[in-house]
Amino acid sequence: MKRTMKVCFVLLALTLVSANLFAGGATEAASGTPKESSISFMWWGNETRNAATIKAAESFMQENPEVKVTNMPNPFGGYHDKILVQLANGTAPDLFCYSTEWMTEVGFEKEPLLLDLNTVSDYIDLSSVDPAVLSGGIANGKLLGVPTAISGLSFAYYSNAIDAYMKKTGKSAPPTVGQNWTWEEFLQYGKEFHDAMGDDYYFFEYGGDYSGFDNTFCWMLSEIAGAPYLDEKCNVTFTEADLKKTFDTLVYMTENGIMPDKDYQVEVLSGVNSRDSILAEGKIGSVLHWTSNIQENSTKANAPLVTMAYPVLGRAENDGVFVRPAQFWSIYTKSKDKIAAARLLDYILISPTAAMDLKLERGVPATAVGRKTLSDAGILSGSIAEATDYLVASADTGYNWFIRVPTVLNEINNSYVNVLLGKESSANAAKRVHAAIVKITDGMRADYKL
Amino acid sequence: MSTIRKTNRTILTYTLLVGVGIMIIYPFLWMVGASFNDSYSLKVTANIFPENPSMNGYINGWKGGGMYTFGTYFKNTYYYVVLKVLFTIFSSIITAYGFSRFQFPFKRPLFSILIGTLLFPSVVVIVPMYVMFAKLGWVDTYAPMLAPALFAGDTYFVYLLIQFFRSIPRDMDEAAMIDGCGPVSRLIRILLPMIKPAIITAILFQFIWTGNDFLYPMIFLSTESKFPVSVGLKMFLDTSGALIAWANIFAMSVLAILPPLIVFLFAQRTFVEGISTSGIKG
Repeated sequence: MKRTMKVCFVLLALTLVSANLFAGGATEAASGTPKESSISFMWWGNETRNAATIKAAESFMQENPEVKVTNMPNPFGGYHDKILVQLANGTAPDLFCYSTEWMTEVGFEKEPLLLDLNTVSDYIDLSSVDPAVLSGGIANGKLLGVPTAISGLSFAYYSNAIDAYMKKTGKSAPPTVGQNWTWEEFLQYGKEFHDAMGDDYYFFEYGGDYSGFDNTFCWMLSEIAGAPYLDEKCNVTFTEADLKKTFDTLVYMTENGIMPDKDYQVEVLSGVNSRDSILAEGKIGSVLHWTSNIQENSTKANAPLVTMAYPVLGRAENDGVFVRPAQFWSIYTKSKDKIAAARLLDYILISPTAAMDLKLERGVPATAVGRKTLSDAGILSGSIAEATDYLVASADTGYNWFIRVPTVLNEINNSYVNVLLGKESSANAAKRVHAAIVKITDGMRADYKL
Repeated sequence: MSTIRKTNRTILTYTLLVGVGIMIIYPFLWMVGASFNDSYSLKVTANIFPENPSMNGYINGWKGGGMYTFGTYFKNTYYYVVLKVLFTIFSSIITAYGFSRFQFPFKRPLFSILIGTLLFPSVVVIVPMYVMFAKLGWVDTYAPMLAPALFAGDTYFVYLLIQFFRSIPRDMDEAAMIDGCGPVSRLIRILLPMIKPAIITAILFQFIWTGNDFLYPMIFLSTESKFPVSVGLKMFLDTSGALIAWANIFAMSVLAILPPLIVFLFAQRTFVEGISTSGIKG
C-alpha cells in the first residue's frame, strides 16, 4: 500500500511538472497583447556578426524606445529549414535574413510569404540602394527583400606570391583596376608563373571549395555563352559547345599548372584537403572570389590582396559582371507589426549609427549612405573598397535568382570531377549535363509558372 | 610449442585491439589537441599536439557565439535532457509492460504500428509535428521535444524493454500474484529490478542522443536563451566570408562530450552486474 502511494505520488509530481512545462508555452501566448510595439528579428551569423547586429538593433531601440526588438541570432546550419517551416506555419519572425539562393522557393508564389516592401515604402528609404542591386529582390513586380550587403565576383592576386614571381623573373604584376587583358593573356601569365616558380606554385585557384568552383565555372560559362548561363526566366542560354569549352578550359588550366593538379583539386572539392596550407605558404597567385571574402582570404594567405582586372573571356562589351545581394532582409507577410519591422529595416539600411555598428560584418553596405559612412571612418578602405568600387563600376549584368541554383550546380560539380580525372570526355559530359540542366530548368519553370 | 603459439596469438590479438582502439580514439584526441591551438587556425595535420598551446579556445569559446555563454547552453541542455530521459523511461516502461504482459483488443495491430514507427526517419515527422505544436502555441518551448517522450514517442526504447520483459519467465509474475501482488506491484517489485541493465542502457542512449540532437532544437526553438549546446556550437559557424574560430568550437565540443562520457563511465559498472537469478519459491 505504502509503495503504491509512493508510485501515485511520483506520477502526480510528474504530471504537475509536465503541466507546468506545457502550460508555459500556452501561457506565454495567452498573456495578452503587449502595449508597446514588439517585433522579432532573426538572422544567421557567427559571434562577431551576431554582436554587430545586436548592437545595431540596440541602437535602434535606444532611438525608438517604444519598439522592443527581440533579437534571435541563429546558426546558419539548419536556418533554411527553420525559416521555411516558420513561414509556412505562421511563426516566422517579423524581420529576418533570407538567402539569395532561397528566393526561388518563395518568390514566385501567387501570395508570397515575404512582404512586398513597396507596401511599406513610406517607412523605408529605398532610394539609397543601388537600383541594380535592388532589382535582385524583385519578382513579379514585388520587392521581396532588400540586400543586407553587396558582393560580387572579383579577381585578385596575392601580393606575396606575385611579388616573389616579379622578383625572380622581372615580369610585371597582372593588370589591375583601370587596365585590361584578355583571357588568353591571363592563361599565358598563369603558365609562365607556374613554369618560373615551380611545380607547387599555381597562378589561380577558385576559392577552396565547391562554392568557389561553382563561381568560377558559372562565370566562365556565362562569359563564353555571352549571357548569364540561366536568365531571369530560368531559361538555359548556353549550348553544349559552350559547356564543353568551359570544361576544356579548366582541364587545360589544370594540365598546364595554372590551377592545382587534379588530385589536389579533387581532395579539396571533396573536403578531404584544404587549400589553406599552400595559400599560407604563398604558392597561389590569384583567386576569383566574392568581394566579401577578401578579408578572409587575405588573412589565410598572410598577405594583402590586390584587385586584378577582369580578364575578358567572351565579350568585351559585356563582361558578365554582376553585383549580387549577399543576403536579403525580408519582412514576414503576416507580421503583426509590419511598420515597426520596416522602421527597423530602414534604420539598418540608412542610419550612420547602424552602419558604424555593423561595420563590414554583414558585408559591404548595400546603400551609398552606408558605404560613405564607412569610407569616411576609414573602415571601408584598401582592397575591399577598391574591389567594391571596381565591381559596381564594371557590373553590366543584372543579378537573377537562378544564377546559383543548387540542383543545377550539383550536375556541374559531379561532372567536372569525372572530366578532370579523365573518366569522362568533356564532349560526353557537356551533352549529358546540358540535357540534365534543361530538364531541371524546365521543371523549375513549370513549378514557378514562369 | 603450444605456449609459444598461445603467446603469439595473444600478441597478435592485442596488437589488433590496440590498433583499432587507436583508430577509434584518435579523432577525439586530435580534437582535444586542436582545442588548445590558436583560435582561427585549422591546420590539417596528423599531429595531435598543439603547436602553440593556448587556453584561448576555452576562454573565448565559453563566451559563446551570440548573446549567451555556454553556461546557459549547458544549463538548457541538461534541463531538457534529464526531463526527456525521465519521461522516456517512465512511458517506455509502462508501454512495454502493457505489450509484453497483458492481452487487450487490437494488441497485434497496435504493436505492428508501434514497430512501424521505428522505420520513420525523424526528419519526416518534424514538419507535421511543427504544424501541430504551432497550433498548440508550443513553438519556442521545450514542449515539442518532451511531449513525445511522455507518450512513448521513442519506440526504440519501448521495443528494447519489451524484449527484456519477454525474457523474464511468467512464472515470476505468477509467483508474485500468488503472494498477493497486483499488476503495479509486480512491475515495481519483481520486473523492474530484473531489467535494470536495459533501463540503464535506455537512459544512457537517450541521454547521449538527446544531448546530441541539433535538428529538433534548431527548428522548434527561436530564442537564443533556450538554445542547447548543439545549437550553441553551430553559432560559431557562418557562411563563407567569415573567419571561423576553430579552437573555440573544438574547446566547447570537448566540454560538451564530457558529461555523456562521465555518465557512460558510471553506467558501465551496471552493465557487468549480474541479474538476480531465480526468485521463484516452492
